[in-house]
Amino acid sequence: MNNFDTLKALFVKALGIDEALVTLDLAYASIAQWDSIAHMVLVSDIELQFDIMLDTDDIIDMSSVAKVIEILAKYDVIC
Amino acid sequence: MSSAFFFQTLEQHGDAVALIDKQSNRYSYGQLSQLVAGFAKEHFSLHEPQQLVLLKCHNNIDTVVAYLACLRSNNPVLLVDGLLNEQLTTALIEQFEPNVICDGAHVAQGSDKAHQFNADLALLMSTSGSTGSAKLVMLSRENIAANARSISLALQLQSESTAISSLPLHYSYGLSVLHSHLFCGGTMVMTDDSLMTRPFWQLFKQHHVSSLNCVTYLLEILEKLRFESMTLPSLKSVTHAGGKISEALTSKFVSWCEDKQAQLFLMYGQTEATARISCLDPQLAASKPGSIGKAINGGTLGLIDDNEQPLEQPGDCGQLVYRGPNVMLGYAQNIADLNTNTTSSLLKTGDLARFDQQGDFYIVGRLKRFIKLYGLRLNLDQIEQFLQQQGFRCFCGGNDEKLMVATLNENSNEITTVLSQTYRINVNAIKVFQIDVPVNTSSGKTDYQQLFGPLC
Repeated sequence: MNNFDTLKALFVKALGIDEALVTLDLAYASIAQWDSIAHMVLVSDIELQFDIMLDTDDIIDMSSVAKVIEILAKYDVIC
Repeated sequence: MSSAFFFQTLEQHGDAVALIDKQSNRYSYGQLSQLVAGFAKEHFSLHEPQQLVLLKCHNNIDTVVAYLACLRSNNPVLLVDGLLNEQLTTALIEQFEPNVICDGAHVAQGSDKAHQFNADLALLMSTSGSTGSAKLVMLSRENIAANARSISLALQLQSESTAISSLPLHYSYGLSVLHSHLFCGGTMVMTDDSLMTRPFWQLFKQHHVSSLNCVTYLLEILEKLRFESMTLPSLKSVTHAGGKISEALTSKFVSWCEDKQAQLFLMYGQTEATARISCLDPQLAASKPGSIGKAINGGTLGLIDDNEQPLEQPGDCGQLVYRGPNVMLGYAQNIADLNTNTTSSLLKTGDLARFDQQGDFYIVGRLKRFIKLYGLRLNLDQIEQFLQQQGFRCFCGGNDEKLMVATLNENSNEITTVLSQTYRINVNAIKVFQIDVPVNTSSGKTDYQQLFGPLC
């Protein structure tokens, strides 16, 4: 599984949504399932999966799937 | 009690800033007072009999204005989550037949039912906001004013104090943040942005927020956000209420708040007593983890045993009871109840507690069948009933981290989806497992202990 597929799976689990919904432009709070609680689960899962520690600014900037990918790249996780 | 309540004398604070919206527009107390008067005049003045208002709450100025207009013009208002599932909102409307339905500035006519109200009734809040529970708590103007005053004293709030809407207004704790700040002429920043977003923290810094109010999951979010390394020079106090907090999390926040020179107030509340009713002296937060402290000004906490006799020895364990001017008028489960008064100034909390030598209280368990998920109370029997109606044979239990469902059906995923969508619960906080046969106690009742362990 490549990193993008892994990331998609993390979204599916944290938000409890179908994989088809996980597109680049899916944004925080654009669907009811991506709320602050799901975001917390997502951040924890991402950190665990890719063995990184995100800082405050990264966490609050992860406002869409595309932004998450952009931020992960800073940590050398290329999706 | 003084002759006028704080929500009737907003203009006394004049040009001081009462509210700031997410676009950073400022509203002075004078302006707010005019907006409130204008709203009341437009929507209520023609109606001589009192109206029942259902207000769909959002963390914005329109909601605050509509709410204060109801209080000020003496029309009882039922606060509901503006994002509450439509089916649940409709059920509430059918049950209580509100005359006016407000969604922010949008006002619609509802039922023409001529309601009869308890003369003191001002506010109705759901005992379980996220399930739109049809069991409502009836509160009076006196309840609201007394509680606003006590909280404001406990936290030493003053006109310089500024809070931000980290909690929703339809939730008693969230509403009490607004009340206590308006009471002392302080400021409230209203935004629907969550702590997980950049705009929230921009507003926080730009408007020098001094008071951050959290339920447990918000502290967990702060922990995830590396609260310890955030620079928040304006922060003076962090409050926690709305459920259990682990010793580990407490001790982290004790040390982080100390580093930030902010006080940590560990509190406890009940919607049935308007909102928060106890507070631990911040100096003791480190040495008494798990304590909810003492009753706030004007109230008394105590314990009773199974025979309702008072327990007076430190270490005794019994049901926590509270007495004070903020104890509700009673519950309303139907329209007729709105005109009842079951007022007893004694509130049985349904929580089991003990106290130490210094009189600081500790919650040790729970008598009633509910859990608190993300600070919101979920009535387990109600969820069980809902699932039955959807055709699932289920039993519900859990703790403040997970809603657990034991089912005789085979479609666990479907149950998770239905629950998550109806009550907006994150799927990771729901655990459904299958059982082959119902598990009963010797008296033939469902043995929830056996299925899920003790409620605490």
